[in-house]
Amino acid sequence: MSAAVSVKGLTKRFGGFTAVDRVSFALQENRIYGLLGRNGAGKTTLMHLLTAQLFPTDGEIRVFGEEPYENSRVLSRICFVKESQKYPDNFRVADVLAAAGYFHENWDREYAMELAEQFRLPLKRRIKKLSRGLFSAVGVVVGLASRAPLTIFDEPYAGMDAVARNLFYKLLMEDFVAHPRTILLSTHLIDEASALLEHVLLIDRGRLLLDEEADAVRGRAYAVAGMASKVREFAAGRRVIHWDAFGALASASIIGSLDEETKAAAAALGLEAAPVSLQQLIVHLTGEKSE
Amino acid sequence: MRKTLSVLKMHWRDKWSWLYIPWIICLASFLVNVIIGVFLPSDGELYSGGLVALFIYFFVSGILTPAQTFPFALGMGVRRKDYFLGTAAMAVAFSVPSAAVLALFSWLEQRTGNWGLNLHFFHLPFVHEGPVLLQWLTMLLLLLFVYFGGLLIAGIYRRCGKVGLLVFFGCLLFMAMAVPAAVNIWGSWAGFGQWLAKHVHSMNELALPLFVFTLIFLLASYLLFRRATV
Repeated sequence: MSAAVSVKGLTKRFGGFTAVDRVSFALQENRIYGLLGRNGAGKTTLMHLLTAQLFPTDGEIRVFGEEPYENSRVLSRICFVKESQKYPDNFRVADVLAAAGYFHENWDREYAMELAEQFRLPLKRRIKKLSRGLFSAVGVVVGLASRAPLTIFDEPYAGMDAVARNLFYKLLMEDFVAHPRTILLSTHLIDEASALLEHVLLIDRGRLLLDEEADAVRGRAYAVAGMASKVREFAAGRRVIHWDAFGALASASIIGSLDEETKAAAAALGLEAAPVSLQQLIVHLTGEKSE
Repeated sequence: MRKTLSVLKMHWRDKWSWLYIPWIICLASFLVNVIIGVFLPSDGELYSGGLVALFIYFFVSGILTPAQTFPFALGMGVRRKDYFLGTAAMAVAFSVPSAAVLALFSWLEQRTGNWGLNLHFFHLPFVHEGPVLLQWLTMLLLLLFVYFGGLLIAGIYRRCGKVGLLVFFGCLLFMAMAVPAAVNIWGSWAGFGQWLAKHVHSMNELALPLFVFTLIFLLASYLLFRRATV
């Protein structure tokens, strides 16, 4: 497999503030990557750098093996949809979809119309007049129908309701299977999207904390639940990253792999053991530790 | 080339900005002057400067186009170069027929005896002189001058932010004061007046020097946009 994106020692400073700090990673072709991190962690800046909308302070970026800046071969294969995307004031939904078609070689007009229908987008309405959720849907339709070899979604579903979000996950998966491409998705809704993600990049304060297969990340911790006293007994000597108590019951998230031995130890105390959610682990990695 | 054309097509989707609004402004201004003209005493002559509204609109349009479309185009994977060329092409595509319409109206104004109203709107002394084709060229160069002047301002803002814009206007202000001061000290206003009277008989003679500025604006804004970020 060849790399769609490779980044070495990438750094971006805005005055005294370092938004992206010596980040190195590679994205393999035709996979779905999740870019996770808290607000202001540097996700959007990183995406702007990959698409040459911002210039790096230091480091090297290769997209499809080439420098992306002013490189038509590279840029014409990228579609970048962001939460705060600006559209011309006079553009209606239909204008945005038509214009997106001018710029993307793989643009599928019929598919775009079908998507617009599914998201209930009013084609004749001006973008300015759309609700937050429908505004996001425009970006999602552009991102999906462009079928760009590198598609970057930055918080694509801000303001979308649960139905629309689930529709997005479903459509993304279906279309990805039919037309494989490299997808980089940044999101706050980690649990919702986690089934989609094959690989996770986690950044915090501009630094890359994690660059791992999603399954491997999930395997890093597990949760046990049951009587509080028993959970406490089980947790003694183990690394607890999260503790929830409700009356006499408690659940604890613990670092380590959920192997047979651990399962047996939990069962012996009458506790239920299960893999921890990706979100809890991410919250732990970016929240508590950095406090 | 194909990408440049795509940018052009993107701009052309915004017919309000590129077609309806400028001509609504121009024709509304004309209509107001026609109404005034109707109530004019028969021996009065009305010289209107209403046409300047179109040029002001196009100047502002040059400032606003990038704010409207640059971030969108970049998100769609457009090169800065293609964005700039496509935008410049759109400005030319607007100016060529618009200047022709202005020249046509100027001709009509003459033919109809100033619309039978003694109204001078499209055919003004000094501004619209010489054959129709020359008037068309002068209008074209003026339209391009104001648009790319606006685009340069947009480019400075995109590339250098508010500070850059402040420095630019500071320099402009300084020149606006320094040049008359220099004439006061080293030259003579009378000599300058004589030179003008000798060489400049109409806007036609000014259009070419303005076009040199237009080319400078074009080059400068291209270099600025090449390094602009969203």
